[in-house]
Amino acid sequence: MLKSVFTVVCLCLILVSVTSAQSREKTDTESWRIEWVNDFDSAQTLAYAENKHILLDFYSDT
Amino acid sequence: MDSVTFENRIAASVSKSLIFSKHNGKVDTSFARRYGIAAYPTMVVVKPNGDEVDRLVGFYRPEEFVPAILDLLQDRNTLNDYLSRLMQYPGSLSLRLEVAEKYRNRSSLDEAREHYEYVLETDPDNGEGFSDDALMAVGKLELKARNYDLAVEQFERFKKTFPDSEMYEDAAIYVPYTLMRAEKVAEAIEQFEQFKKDFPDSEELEWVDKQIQKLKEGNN
Repeated sequence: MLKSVFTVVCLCLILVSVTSAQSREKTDTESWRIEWVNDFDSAQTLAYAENKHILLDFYSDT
Repeated sequence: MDSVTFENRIAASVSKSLIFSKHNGKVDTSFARRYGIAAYPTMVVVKPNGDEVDRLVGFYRPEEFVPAILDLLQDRNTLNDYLSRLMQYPGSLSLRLEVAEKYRNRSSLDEAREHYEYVLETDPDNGEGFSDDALMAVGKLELKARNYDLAVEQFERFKKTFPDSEMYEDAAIYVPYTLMRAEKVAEAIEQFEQFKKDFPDSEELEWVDKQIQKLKEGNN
């Protein structure tokens, strides 16, 4: 009986640990991913509000 | 840029200092024209009111992108910075060349031409080693502006003026290439053939043969 309880507790701890690690990784990734504001008027509004410059990335898909 | 630089954690670290805005220059043509976009990719850093600070032209790997952007945000090595330094050292040909390059990147061709010509007039014998760069750039600038006759003239001028330059072969191949762009087929073929005789060991021979074949088939 004691052995079964111990096994269940261990499994729970492992599950919590794995879930927490996955969640942390996801949060880290989201924290550094670039957020694109492709509408220039909106980008300007945000730039004024946050006192930032704007990087305009001009690309061509041809 | 998307799959390499903008997806990179280090490069994205500068996102805290900037608002990122992506534009397809071939679709949003009026917006691209507003900023004189002539090559892709081009990244233009602007103030909130839309005034340009400076730009990066071409592909930048993450390790190049971050310092270049940080320079730009601190107004280091920007057109404005070079112009200020040129006020202090008006005789500096290296600064003059940097200013010309900045104008060229902005498609401000008249201003670029003026600074390149200053370098050429000041040091016609290429004593400081900037004049061959300047003349080659003038040729390319005319080519980009589709002033084909002027471009050929500048590349021929290069061949006569700087026969010992490392860029001599480049100038020589730009002559037929420009003629080809100008759809002067017979002259282009003749000049490509001449190039083959003048540079029998060139790495470009395979490409040259392909161009000759295309010209003869009428597919240029």
